[in-house]
Amino acid sequence: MALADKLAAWQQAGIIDAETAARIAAHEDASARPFALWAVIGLGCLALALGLISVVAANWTDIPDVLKLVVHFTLSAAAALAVWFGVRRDARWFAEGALFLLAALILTGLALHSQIYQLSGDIWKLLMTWLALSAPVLLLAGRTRLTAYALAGMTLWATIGWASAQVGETLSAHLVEGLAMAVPWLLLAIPALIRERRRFIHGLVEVALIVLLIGVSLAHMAWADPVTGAAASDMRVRMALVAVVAMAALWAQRRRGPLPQPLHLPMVAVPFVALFLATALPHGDGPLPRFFGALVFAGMWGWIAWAAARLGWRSLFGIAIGALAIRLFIVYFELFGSLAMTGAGLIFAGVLLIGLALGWRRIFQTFRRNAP
Amino acid sequence: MNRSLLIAALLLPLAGLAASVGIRESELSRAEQYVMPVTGFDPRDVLRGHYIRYRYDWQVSGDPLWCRDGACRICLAGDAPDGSRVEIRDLPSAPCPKEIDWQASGLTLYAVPATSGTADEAGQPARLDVSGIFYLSESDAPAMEQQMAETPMVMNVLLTSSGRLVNQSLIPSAPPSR
Repeated sequence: MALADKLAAWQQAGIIDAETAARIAAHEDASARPFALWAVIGLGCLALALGLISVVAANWTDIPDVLKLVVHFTLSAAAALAVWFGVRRDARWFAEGALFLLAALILTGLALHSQIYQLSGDIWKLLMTWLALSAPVLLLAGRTRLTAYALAGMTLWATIGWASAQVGETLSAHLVEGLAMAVPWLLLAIPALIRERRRFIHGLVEVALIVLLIGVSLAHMAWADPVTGAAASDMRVRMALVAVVAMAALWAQRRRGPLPQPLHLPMVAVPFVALFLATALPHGDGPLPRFFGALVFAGMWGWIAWAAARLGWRSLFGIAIGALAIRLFIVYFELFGSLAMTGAGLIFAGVLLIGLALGWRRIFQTFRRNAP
Repeated sequence: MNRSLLIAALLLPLAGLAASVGIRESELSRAEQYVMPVTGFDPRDVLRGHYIRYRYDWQVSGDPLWCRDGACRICLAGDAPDGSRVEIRDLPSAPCPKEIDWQASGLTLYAVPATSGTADEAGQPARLDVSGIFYLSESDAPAMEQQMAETPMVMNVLLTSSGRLVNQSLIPSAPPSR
C-alpha cells in the first residue's frame, strides 16, 4: 500500500489527524531518495563493468602476462591508497568501498598468479594466503557490515577448507579442525581488540552467532548416534582449542560487548557446553542419551528465549521458541519412529504441528504485549 | 587508529603480491627447459573452457607399480632439453637431481597394472600414466584438436629447482614437411 493510502486509512481509523498526516507526508517527501534514478545509473555501471570484463576476457590470451601483473598491482596499490585517504578523511563509505575492492583484488591477484605461473593446489591454501594478507587491514580499517561479512565469511570458508583437507587422526589435524570449529567464538572475541566501529563489530558478531547456533543445533544430532571412546577422545583434543577461544570470547563480550549481559552465557558459553556434551563425551544412541540431548537443546534455546524476553528482543525470542517447537516435533518422530509415518501417525503429526505453530504464535503475541 | 599500524597493514598485501611474483620469477629464471613428447585426448570441456588433456609419452625405466600410491620418484634421465626419458625410483631412495614433483605440477598420476591377454586382445605390461591439462583460447582450440590427432606433439616445459613443471607451449614435434 502506498504511503498516501496508509495515511488516509490511519486518518479514517482515527489514529492520526489531518495535520499529522500532512506532516508525515511532508517529512517522507523531504527524505525521499531518487531510487529509480539510482537504479538506472546502477544498471548503466553494471553494463559498463560487464562490457569491460567481456573485452578483457575475449582478449585474455593475447594480453602479455607482464601487462596483466602490472595492471593488477597498480589497481591494488590504488585501492590501498584510496583506503588510506578514506580513513584519514573519515569518509566511511569511500574507505569501505576501497577496502572491499582491495580485499577482492588481493584474492584475484593470487588467482592470477596461480594462472600465470601454473600453480596448483587445494583452494584452502589460496584462501589462507588471502586471509593472512587481508585480515590485518580488514580488522584495522573495516567499519561496516560489508567488510565484516566478507572477513567472517572468508575466515569460515578458509578454515573449513583447511580442516576438510586434513587426513588421519594426528594432533596437527585435530588442531586444524579445532581451529575451524573455534572460528565463531574467535569472531566473538574480536571486540576485545577493537574499541569503536560498532557496525563492523556487529557484523562479525551476527555471522558468529548465526553459525554458532545453527552449528550447535545441528551438532546436537550427534546424540542420535553412538560416540565411541576413541572418537570422543579425538574430539576433546579439538575442543581444547575451542575452549580457550570460547573463554576469550566470553571475556571479550563481558568487557566490551556488543552482546548484552543476559545473552553472554546462553549464546557464548552454553553452545560450547552443548557441543562438548554431544560430541566429546562417549555415549550410546539409546532413548536416555537422546532424551538428555533433547534436554540440553531445550536448555540452550530456552535460556536464549528467556534472555531475549528480558531484553525485549522479539526476533531472537521468536527464533528460540521456533527452535524449541521444531525440536518438540522431532521428539514425536523419535518416540513413535516408523509408526509416526502411518496414516494415523501423520494425522497426529499434522495436528501436533498446527498446535505447535498456534502455541508459538500465542507465546509470541503474549511476549509482544508484555515486552519492555 | 594507529597510523603506522594502518600503513603496515595496507603495505602487507602489496608486499605479499610482489613477493609472490618475485619468488615465481626467480624460480623460473633458474629453471631448465625440456621438450617432452605428449599425446592428447579428450579435448575441450563445456564447463571448464577449452583445453587439451595431454599424457606424457615418456620412455620409462623402473617399475611403474612403485607409483601405485604415489610413493615413487619420477626422475628425468636425459640432459636438458631431452625430456623423453624418465626413471622411476621407489621410496625411500635418495632424491634424484632432476626430479618431477607431479603433485606440485598439477599432474595426475596412475600406475596401471599389467593386463593378461585374452583371445581377442594382447596383454599389456604395467605402465605409468601421467597426464595434465593445457588450456587454450577458444580460437586456437579447433586447430590444436586436429593437430593433436594428426601429428606427434611435444610440450616445451620449464623444470624448476623444486621439481615443478611449468608448461610453455604445445607444438608439433617436427616442423611440418613441405
